[in-house]
Amino acid sequence: MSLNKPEKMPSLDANVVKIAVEMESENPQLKEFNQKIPLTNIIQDLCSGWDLTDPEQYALKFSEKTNQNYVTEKNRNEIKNGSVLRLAFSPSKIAYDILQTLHSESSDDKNERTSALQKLAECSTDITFALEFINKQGLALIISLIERGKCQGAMLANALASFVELMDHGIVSWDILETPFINMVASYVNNQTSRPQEAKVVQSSLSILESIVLNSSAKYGQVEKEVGFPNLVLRLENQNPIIQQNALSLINALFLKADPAKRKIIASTLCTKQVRNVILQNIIQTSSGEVGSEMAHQLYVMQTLCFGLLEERMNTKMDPQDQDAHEKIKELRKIAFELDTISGGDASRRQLSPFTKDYKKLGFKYDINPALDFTETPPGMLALDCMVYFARNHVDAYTKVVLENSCRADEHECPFGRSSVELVRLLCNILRIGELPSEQTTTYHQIFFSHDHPFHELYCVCIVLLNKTWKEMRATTEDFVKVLSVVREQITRALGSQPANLEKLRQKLSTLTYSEITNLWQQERTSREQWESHARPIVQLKELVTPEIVQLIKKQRLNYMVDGTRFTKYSQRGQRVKDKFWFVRLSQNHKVLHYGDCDDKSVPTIEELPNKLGVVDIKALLTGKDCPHMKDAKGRKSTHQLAFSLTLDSVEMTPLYFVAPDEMVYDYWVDGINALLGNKMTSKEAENDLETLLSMEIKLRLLDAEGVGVDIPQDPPPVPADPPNYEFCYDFK
Amino acid sequence: MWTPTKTNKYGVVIYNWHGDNPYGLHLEIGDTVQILEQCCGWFRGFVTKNRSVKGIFPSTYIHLKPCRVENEGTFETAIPLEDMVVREVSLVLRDWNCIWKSLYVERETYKFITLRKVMRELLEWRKQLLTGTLTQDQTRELKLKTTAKIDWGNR
Repeated sequence: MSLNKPEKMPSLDANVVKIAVEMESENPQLKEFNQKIPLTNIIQDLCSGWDLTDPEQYALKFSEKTNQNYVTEKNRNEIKNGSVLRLAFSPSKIAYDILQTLHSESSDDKNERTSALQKLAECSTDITFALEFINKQGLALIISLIERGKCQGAMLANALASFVELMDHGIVSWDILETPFINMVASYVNNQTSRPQEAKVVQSSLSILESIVLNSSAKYGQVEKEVGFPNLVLRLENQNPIIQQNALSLINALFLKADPAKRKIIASTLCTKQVRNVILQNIIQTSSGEVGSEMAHQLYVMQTLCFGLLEERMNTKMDPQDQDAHEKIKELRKIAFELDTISGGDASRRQLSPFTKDYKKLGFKYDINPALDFTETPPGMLALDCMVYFARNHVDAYTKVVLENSCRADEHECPFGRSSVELVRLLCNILRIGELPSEQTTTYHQIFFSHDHPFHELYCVCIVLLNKTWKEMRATTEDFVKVLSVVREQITRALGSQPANLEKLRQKLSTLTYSEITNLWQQERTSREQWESHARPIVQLKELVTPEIVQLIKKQRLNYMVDGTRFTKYSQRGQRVKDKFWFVRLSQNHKVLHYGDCDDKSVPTIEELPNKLGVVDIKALLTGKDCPHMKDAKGRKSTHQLAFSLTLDSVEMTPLYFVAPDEMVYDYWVDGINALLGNKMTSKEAENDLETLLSMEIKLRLLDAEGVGVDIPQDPPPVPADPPNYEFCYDFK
Repeated sequence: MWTPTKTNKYGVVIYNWHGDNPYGLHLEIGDTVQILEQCCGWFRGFVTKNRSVKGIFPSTYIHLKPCRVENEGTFETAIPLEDMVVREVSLVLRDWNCIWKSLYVERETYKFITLRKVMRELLEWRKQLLTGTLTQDQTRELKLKTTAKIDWGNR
């Protein structure tokens, strides 16, 4: 007899993974790849398997859709069981070959050089190769190729693409680039030919210039000088989405790195109708109707930068010496109160009395000197700018808002001045004015490309909204915070619906009335509560509280039994005995059931009930069809549903047969008896009672955990390490 | 080092804490706690409904609430800075809960159902007061309604 030994033990070494290695025009090799053995040894081994000489010319690459990089000592732990690798020429060998081809001036074969550059562009995405190539002075060669304008067409496209890829690894500083190189690359951007192979040239050139602007402060001026803004705007009209995207990225980079004076110039160019329309028509409202996420990000950056220009005004306090600002305040008053009056008629009266009364009507906080209203930053002078813009450009709406409130005699008027200051502060907050663009955000608002002064126009729409909401809420000046919280909700929800223009925004806002917002809030509260009732700590609490509630139900059921119930008499065969009743009571100490016959009206006391049954003598509770007296019952469905009986340990005593008058009595008795016998109470009534009592109890327990800002976590919060000691300051011994 | 807390004096439990750590204090979600001292992410204090049992618990299990402190020192008392009506409703509801439960046991069905309805109303109004989105007018109205209801209940 032979011992059954396993043929081969599965490898238990955690360092060994099973892989396959492929090579062009060779049969793949299956290998056990040991992570502890140096790659060079493994490659040698593979080469000998395929009879390849010069193993140092080869390297391993990953062979996945998303990863075809070289395997290095650093990334080799990414190799897992079942991985497929490829044996290919090493980075060093490829870099050497490419450089050979590019260097050989004698080689007139353009095709050969073009394909070398194409290979270079492909390989350069891998940092292992890029390092090798740069170390062999390859980058300098590429730069000089571009700089000397030696390449054209596909060759140029590949040279530029290679450069982009090589630089992308951040190995070499962008500061090394000189003016001739920048000028040459800029010329490709400015050159407006539209041959297809040029597209790649323009894409790469735009991307190179963007990187120079972002990464090399000294070269900003050169780039800015060489590519004019108009050329970049023209590029936005290009039908190639990548060119559009790269052009917009370069515009944003120039914008971001500009000094404050230049920023204003750039912003005013970008806000012109011409540029806005180019963006709207060629990027946002294209036939496909889709904006890629990178493009969306660039649009967001552009918007953020444009809004950023408001920051200065937002953070500027009103200077008491600022005559221009004082004039603006006067103009507000004039437009509101003097437009209808015949000019000159009562000018003398006006001269005598100061404008204080009018300033009060305008709703300034400091009606004696409204300049003080603009000393808080944010919103500072931006608030005054918006108000004047409103008064000048929307005279009707402005006078309506002001007069409506100044004519009210009660405390329900909405002060225009104060609410404007608050609203502009709110808008600055919603639009994050003054913050630098974030890296990931891709939400832009098409609506802001639809107007020259998007912020001011937004204010004009929203100040009307604020007035409407104020009225709907019947608010008083004490309610500013609350009105603003509703208005904030209205604005963020309306903007969230991505309206295409101001009219669409207005329409959306008109549907978001105060009552609609309260409804939405109510819904959110309810769904939060529903979620919370399933939150783990609350479920735990319910479990904790349940026994207490069950005791309460038990007590109630036993009380009920103590009070006793009159039952109709049934024969042992389940026949109702006409006009015969019996009465059952539980003794005060819950130990004995007393029962006896009775008539249909009387409630016998415990002494009047001659028969007794000790609870300890009860063997079991039977219900429904299990009851002996219901075995033969037919057809009368309702009867056996209400039937229950008590079987006894002793055969000498007759079991008790019950039929309850209704379901509630049935449930109460069955629960009560179950409770006496130490069983679970399972009736529908018991379930309902538990739900009613428990839900109230939980609600009351959680009263203090309700309200704004208290969040019930789903998972236990982190617990700190034990404290170093237990030497407390307060001693209660 | 355990040091007396300066401003963190009062809070509500947001997660059940078993309390079986050394000197631990058992906490149930919704309990309010008064905090005496702190050390390395731990609080020492007591559940306000049972001042005599002191113990320690992780500060992460507590949502702090503003309060003022009376009788500072070993026997200090933290009084939450809550809206008076909101506070009153909480106290009344908890009182009524006891009555309500005994109505249940005594099978005073009608009273039991009526009181339940009123308690639910009070709960809803209290919630509205808490959300802080009502205007002064609405708040005043609701407070009047609430206090009238409480007076009715206390009869």
